[in-house]
Amino acid sequence: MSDSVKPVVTPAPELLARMSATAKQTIAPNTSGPAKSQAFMLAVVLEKLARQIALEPKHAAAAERDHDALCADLDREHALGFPARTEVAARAVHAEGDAASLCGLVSALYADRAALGDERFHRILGMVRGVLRADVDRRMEYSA
Amino acid sequence: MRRLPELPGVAGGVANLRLTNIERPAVGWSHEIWLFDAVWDDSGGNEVSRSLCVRIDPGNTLLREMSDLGTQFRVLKGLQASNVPSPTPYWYESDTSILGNPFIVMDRVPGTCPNPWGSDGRRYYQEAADRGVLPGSFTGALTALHNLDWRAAGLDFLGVPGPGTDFSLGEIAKWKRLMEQAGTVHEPILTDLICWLEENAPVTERLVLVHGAYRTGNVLIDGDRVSAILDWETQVIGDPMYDVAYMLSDLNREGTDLLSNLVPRDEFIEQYESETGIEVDLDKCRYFNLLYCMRSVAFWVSASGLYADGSSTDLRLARTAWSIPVVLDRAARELGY
Repeated sequence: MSDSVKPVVTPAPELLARMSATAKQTIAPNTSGPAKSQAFMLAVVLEKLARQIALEPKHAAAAERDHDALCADLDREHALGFPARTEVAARAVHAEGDAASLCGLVSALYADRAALGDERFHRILGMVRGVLRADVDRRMEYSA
Repeated sequence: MRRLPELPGVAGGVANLRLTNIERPAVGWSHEIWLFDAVWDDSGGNEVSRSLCVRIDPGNTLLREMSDLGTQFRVLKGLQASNVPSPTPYWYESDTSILGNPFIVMDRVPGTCPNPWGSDGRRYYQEAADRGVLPGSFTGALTALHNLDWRAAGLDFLGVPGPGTDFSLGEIAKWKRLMEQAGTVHEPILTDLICWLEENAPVTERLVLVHGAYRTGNVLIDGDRVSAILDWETQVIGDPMYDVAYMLSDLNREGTDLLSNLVPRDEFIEQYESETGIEVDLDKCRYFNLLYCMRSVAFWVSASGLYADGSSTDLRLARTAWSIPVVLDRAARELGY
């Protein structure tokens, strides 16, 4: 008997990818009308979902590193003082680090633009935009 | 049946009504469209036939209540006395006991609507561009629209923006509302985009009737001429550059430099400016291109939301969840990152 482990359950990303192939190669060619286009669309959805789930651990780790770096950048800027809305929003980014808190920070930066001055506004927005660019690049790996 | 005698050229009684040649063209994203011939016997026993089109609102369209058929009906009515190619609308019916949903009945305009995203459609438009007639007709239909006296046509019911930045800010507010209807959206690039759009809203100097989605695929073509402009769902009284930006956008062409897969850019600008007297403002077009990014996100958020809340089982809507990052990627690049 071999010592190697032989899994009996297909890992989720692989299962979804294989279901996608079945929808595209087996189901769609054997249906017609609206069902055919739905079968092809099913294949597309499953394929994207499979890739998204497969990449999730790697993407989550990268997102965490980006968040830590942004927080460090914001801390340095904080030493110069923040207007009230930006102060609250930056604190939320520290605490939550999710998309909603980043939305709040972007809104606050635009609202506080006059108080921050153009140069600082662009510098801090640039920091945030760097994180957003990296995030959308990752999402494009399974969305495009 | 009792309303058939209201059709132009139809007089006398209607008996033995039957619907023939019933056809449902390619399934779109919003209304159901059915084409058919209504055939009946008049009071003299003569067979009469009319080709008609019915557009039904299934109640779960991408644009939700923004694609109201009552509004479309009034717009099409307003266009009848103009030289804007459009179908003749006959009836709007809001009584859902008849077909299950509101609908409008209009003339079936002759022509085809090749899909510009498929290889057959791309070849069709390339060959039409080579023949050189359709590009001018396509641009001409847009200039007819922008030259329309919309007040005289009674289209001010659509809402007339105030001076200054009111039009641009109104559009931003409209697409924000559509997203809010769908649910809660946390997309920081979208927030950045909206803040940028609000901060940089351009002044509108001249108001025209804007179609809002003027491209091949949204017009009927008959013998190298535009026979009708279709899809009156995003029309608005607004800045003419809103339509021009859509024409110039590379979102609406594939594998070619031709605008909408059909019109050489220089020829479009020259004909547009000469026929309307409106100078093409490329800076404003760049702004409206970014506004279209926001609108696209709103479309996909709305579509994805309709699937998420169970209003639709169409997997095309579920798939649009992955279209959102694609548009955000584009918006970020346009904003410089």
